[in-house]
Amino acid sequence: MAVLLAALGKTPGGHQLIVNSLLKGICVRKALLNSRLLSTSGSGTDAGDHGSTEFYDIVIAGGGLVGTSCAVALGRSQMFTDKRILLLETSKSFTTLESKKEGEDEPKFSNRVYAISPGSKSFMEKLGAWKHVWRSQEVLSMQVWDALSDANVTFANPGYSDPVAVVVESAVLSHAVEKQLQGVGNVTTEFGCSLQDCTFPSISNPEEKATVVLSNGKSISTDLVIGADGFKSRVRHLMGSAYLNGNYDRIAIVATLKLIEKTENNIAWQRFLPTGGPIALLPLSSEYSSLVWSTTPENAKQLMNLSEDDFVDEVNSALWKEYPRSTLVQRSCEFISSVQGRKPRLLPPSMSDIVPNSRATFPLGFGHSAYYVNRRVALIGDAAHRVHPLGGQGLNLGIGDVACLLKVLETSTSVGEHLGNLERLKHYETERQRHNVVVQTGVDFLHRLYSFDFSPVVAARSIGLSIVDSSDVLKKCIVAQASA
Amino acid sequence: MDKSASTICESQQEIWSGVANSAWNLNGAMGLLHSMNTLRTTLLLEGLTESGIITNKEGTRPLEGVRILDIGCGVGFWSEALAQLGANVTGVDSVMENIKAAEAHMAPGMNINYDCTTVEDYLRDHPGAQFDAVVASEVIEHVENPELFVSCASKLIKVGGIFFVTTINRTVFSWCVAILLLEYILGIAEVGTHPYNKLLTPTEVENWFSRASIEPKYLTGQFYNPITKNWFRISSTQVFWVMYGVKKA
Repeated sequence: MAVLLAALGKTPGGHQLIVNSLLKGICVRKALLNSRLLSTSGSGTDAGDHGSTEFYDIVIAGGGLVGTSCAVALGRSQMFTDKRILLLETSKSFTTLESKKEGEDEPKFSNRVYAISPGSKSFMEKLGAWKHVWRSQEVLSMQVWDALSDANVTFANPGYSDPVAVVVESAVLSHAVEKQLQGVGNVTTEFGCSLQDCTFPSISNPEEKATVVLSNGKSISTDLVIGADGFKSRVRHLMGSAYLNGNYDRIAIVATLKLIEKTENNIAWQRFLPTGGPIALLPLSSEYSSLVWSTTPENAKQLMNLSEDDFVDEVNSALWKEYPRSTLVQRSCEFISSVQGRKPRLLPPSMSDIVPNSRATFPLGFGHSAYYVNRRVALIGDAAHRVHPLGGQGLNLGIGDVACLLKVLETSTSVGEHLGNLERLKHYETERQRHNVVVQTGVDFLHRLYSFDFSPVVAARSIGLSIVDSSDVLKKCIVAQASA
Repeated sequence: MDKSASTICESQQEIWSGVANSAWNLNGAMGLLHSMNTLRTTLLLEGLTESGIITNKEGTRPLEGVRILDIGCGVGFWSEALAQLGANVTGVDSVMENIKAAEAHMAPGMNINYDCTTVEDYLRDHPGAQFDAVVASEVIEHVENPELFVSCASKLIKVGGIFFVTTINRTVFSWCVAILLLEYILGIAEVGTHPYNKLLTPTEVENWFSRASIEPKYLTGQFYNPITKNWFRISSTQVFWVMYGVKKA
């Protein structure tokens, strides 16, 4: 199914993917109903009508990495110098990690990290934020292997010349983006404040302004609401988009681990385990790596209750343990090596310690919003799509959304259109869904494929993975898709 | 003014009066026309840059202070976009319903003057009026006596200013697309919107340009991609085409 979905995503299906149009059909009735209700309750609200209603050209709900990047991108654009942008952030301040000051120790690694693709990195450079990223680690290759067979695949750029990704801590990236945000004059950040309610124009009056009610009671009228408020998006709910979601019934454990010995540490490791998901190590420095271990809730609970030493043992065992193999799998492994020739496999590092209290968990889920846009509203980041972390694509998709939305809105302004023109926003939706849905379903497919320990499946996927590994063309395609 | 000197085509007036009420609803043919804004604005900006009327086509208001006459402005699809880019726009249309719809739609403070008139009447009522650019998008194929239309328009352009026209060619292909497909098969334009014999070839318009002392500068075809809903440039002018020229002294 996932392959089918992925294939559909590649067809030039206009702004409505076939999958989507089915979903959209289901929710049209609801959306229509919503818009009718809204049009009787709140339409006609304009900047001039109420003394208390302030006007901003753009309101961005959500001050996470994607939301703040969006604010910086729009605020710095030459096309929006005369526009006023409001950024809403629920917490009292951004969570950031600054570099060390004179006489201080190096700040501890934060346990949430991202593998930033070259595409996302160059967009961050364009925003001027990348120069404030004071700590990061380049990943020159990615090693993926199967715990139940010998099959493995290496992703790297030719000659290991360019990194396939750069690992950055969430708080370091936040610091960089926030630093850049300070220099943007036309963005106002409202902390401790969220979007409570929102009235979008009805279908019969698509050019009315949208009205946003904030948690502090303020009412804002605006040309465009950008929903960057995460996978539980309030904006998505209010715009009435159908949302396809699923719980993977998996928990990811993150932690910061210390390597047994100093190495170059420029390889990202991912091993698919039969215990509910992959274990991944992302390099942070020559001595530290960040762990992302997806597993079942029961197993996660046990792992979280272990002492720190026992936990490190479990991590090492997960990276190294040999699992029993059936004859079929053994035969197919032999077959593969007879065709491919036995090639040396790189071996993962072992861990010596865990940084105290760096263990944390978060639930994994899949989510796809049938619509990314509607009249005067656009969704970006997790509000529009949620993905399993095994491909390290979550934030990259969000940054891709920002880059695309920026481009679309700039074009719109350069030809004299009003902000929030739905026909124009649909270009954004089309472009991003074509990319995002392919990545999401691809990652979902991998997750499902590696959940099996049934021998024929293991044998088949091992052969499949070996084919991928020996085909430069295929690998190039995958790296290109993941690097965007 | 007697009939022979008018550009109004009676048989077409009725169609446009009917369309005006629903025009800012961007479905069907009107959506098609509105989506042309991106390409025609880009081309107009290129033309204005090339002729030296504007120095920079980037930025939010590249048309600041540029005087533009939009003939056959309809309900103001293009006029509004041009005004948004800073131009002082005069929009004229011979259909009252269009002008009313355009005025109703215009946001307060927008720099557009709408006038229900024809190009020849406008010229008569505003002797000496001079514009940096006169645009007639998807109009010239609907007028009676297009040569008169071009010569009147030319008199309203300052020396060095540009005349910008988009229209439909008279070929087998254009008949298939603009008439058979749009009017009869898809039905998104009313039957009779584009009478075949009123369609114009680039050569015909080029000749009228030259006679009205406008030097043709640029000719391109354009076409619509129904999947991406974008108009794009193509070299073939067999169906839809765009031309602009510069007024000579």
